Amino acid sequence: MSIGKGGGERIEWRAYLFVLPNFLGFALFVGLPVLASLALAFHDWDILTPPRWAGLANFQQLLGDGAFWKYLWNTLFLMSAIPISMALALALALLLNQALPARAVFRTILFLPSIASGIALYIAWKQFFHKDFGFLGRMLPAGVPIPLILWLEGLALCLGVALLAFLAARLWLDWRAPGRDLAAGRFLAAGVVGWCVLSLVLGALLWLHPGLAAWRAQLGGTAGASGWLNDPWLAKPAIMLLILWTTMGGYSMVLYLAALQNIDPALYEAAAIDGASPWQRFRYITWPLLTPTTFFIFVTSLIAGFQGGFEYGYIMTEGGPYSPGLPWTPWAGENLGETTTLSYYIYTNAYEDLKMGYASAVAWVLFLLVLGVTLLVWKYGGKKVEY
Amino acid sequence: MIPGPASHCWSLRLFWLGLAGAVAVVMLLPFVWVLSASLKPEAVLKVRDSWVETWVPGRDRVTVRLGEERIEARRLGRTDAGQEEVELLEPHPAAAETDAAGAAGAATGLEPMPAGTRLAVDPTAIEVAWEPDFAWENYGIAWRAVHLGRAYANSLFVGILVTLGQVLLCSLAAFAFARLRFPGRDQLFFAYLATMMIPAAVWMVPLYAMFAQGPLALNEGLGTTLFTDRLYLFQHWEVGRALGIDSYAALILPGLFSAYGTFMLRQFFMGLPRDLEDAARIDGCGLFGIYWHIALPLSRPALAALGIFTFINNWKSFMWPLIVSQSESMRTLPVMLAYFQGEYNTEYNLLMAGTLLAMAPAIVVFLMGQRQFIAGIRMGALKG
Repeated sequence: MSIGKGGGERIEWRAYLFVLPNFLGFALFVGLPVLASLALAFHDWDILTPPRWAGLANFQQLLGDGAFWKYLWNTLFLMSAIPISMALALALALLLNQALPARAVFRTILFLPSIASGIALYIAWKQFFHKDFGFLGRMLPAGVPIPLILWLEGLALCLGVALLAFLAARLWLDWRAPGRDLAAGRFLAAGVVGWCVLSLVLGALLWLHPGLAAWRAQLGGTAGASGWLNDPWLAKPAIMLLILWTTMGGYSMVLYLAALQNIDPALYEAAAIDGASPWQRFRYITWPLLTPTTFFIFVTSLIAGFQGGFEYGYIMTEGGPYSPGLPWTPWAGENLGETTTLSYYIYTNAYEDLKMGYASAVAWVLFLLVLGVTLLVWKYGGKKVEY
Repeated sequence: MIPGPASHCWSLRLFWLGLAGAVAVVMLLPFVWVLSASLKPEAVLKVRDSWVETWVPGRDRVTVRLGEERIEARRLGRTDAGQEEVELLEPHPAAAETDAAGAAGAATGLEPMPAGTRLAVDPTAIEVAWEPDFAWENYGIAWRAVHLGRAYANSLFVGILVTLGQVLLCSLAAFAFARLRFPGRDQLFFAYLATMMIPAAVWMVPLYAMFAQGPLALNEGLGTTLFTDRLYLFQHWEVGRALGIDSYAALILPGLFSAYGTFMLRQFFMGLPRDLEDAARIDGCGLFGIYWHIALPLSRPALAALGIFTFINNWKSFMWPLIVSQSESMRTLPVMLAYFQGEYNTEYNLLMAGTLLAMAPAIVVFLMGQRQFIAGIRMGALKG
């Protein structure tokens, strides 16, 4: 980012007057609260009585807080919709980049969900998943086989592990052998192969081993017969479906489309003369030229993804399906927290349980996570970006 | 997927068109469902097997066969004798002309009956048939049921002020960042960019505390109750408090300052030609004059884009308004809808009518300013 060329020759002191209103507002409504939040993280405060110094107690509590780790996992799980959403956005942008009649109409329709998204739409989606009159809920009268869900979740897990392995290898190479190239595609392939092997081995073991009969009975059933959002197995996939629907035609698609339209057609003509196949044209022209866009979308989606989950959690599931249990058991009606994300956890801590100090501690950990991951991606992803 | 130059093969083009059409259907289907559910006359949606009856708003019309005629009726329940008790909704005979009625009564051996007559009939005489019926009155009912009017007014008022304020404040700062040189400029701008990464959850807790406790402290310090009193316009309309929880100040002030808006406008201002600015300077135009008479008019598309963007985002914003509005009269539309869902969670038709009413303005603003909006997205991302 070059800032120098924008300025005049002389130093203009009156410039501060232009920035001042905005800066004061920022200082008062962002800067001050952020610092106060950092201070609060080391206190216990129920807003009614004066804050009490707690030292590192909030952070110690957080490390041992099973709920925190579970909600962090939920957040990451829902974020696995990001790459799928990006792939769909790219596919849609490629589709709209064809010589389509009424392209503007299609673009408008695709963008509608992300404009209308918000409380109103979440209320509507909650009804879509209802087992009786929601059109999505009705699609599954008999439910989804649990093995299928496990199998698909396994794919997400393997790809996630592959991504982590790639980042770890990248870090290690940077430290020991700077300058070495590392192919992300191989890690991806390893993830897919690992998923196939894992599902075969685990599947065979589970189905053939006599000692695992109890597990087999539990995992052999179906989920979702009582509606998607009421089911601990299907609540998260349901929310992911909603995320995909709202985001795939939205900002990322528009950005991809803009980037596609900026590509010089002469490149494709030259490639066609050389006899490049459509796939080769995509792989060696389109994809590399789209890298900056992909990178931008990925980073902004990551930042948003870590913070997401409050609105649909609040409206659609109250943080997770409630355990159906049996009416006389102590765990009946307990919130299973399957769709509680970190931002929802912060909300309930701060405004329902009035644990402002602990909420601030969780918020700061979330902030550091966002910062860390963004910087990591920036450092190791930004390198391959061709501007 | 073949990127690049348009294909000239018509069958391929037809295929792309079909694919795009299918995607468009997927995107629109939920909206159609909401529309359909909002027009249904039944409060509790019924499970229906027929595809048409599921999607087209309609109701079950119950008729009783009395002699030759079918009379619309309402079921009341079974009698002990195994008969069905019904209440006629129209007079029998349906054609209520007296002379014809007498003739019909004579023909079937039944006395003429006015609407509202209750009688027990054989279950086989009752017939239930579905017919389309659009309950447009649902929108009016939903509007009145939870004071959506006030919520609409709140959302509009807050949205317009936030939009105007943000465009003004961001453009002022962006002008300085893009066109002027001053010590600390680049560091300050970088700090602005960095704030975009701070999760809202970090600043919301202390900000809430600030708005909750601040007015109390001010009251105590100045010896008044002014800052927590509820205010009334023309001694009639409640307009919340002056400051703090349940005030328009709490809803509007934090939204006025945006790092994203500053960033986007700065990108645009940097691209403006310098010649005009120099000419204006030679003509004796001051700094503010250059900003007001040159920079702003030249960047109308960017300002419009930021405006539309801000308005739509503000229309959807939920967490902060939820936290700072406690009394019903200060709720914005999304907050009101969330309460609506809690209260009317069995009357789905009203719920869907309410959600449709809430979505409509954002969609209209988007459709009207679509070109600027999409240009704005590109502007903001161009040099990320």
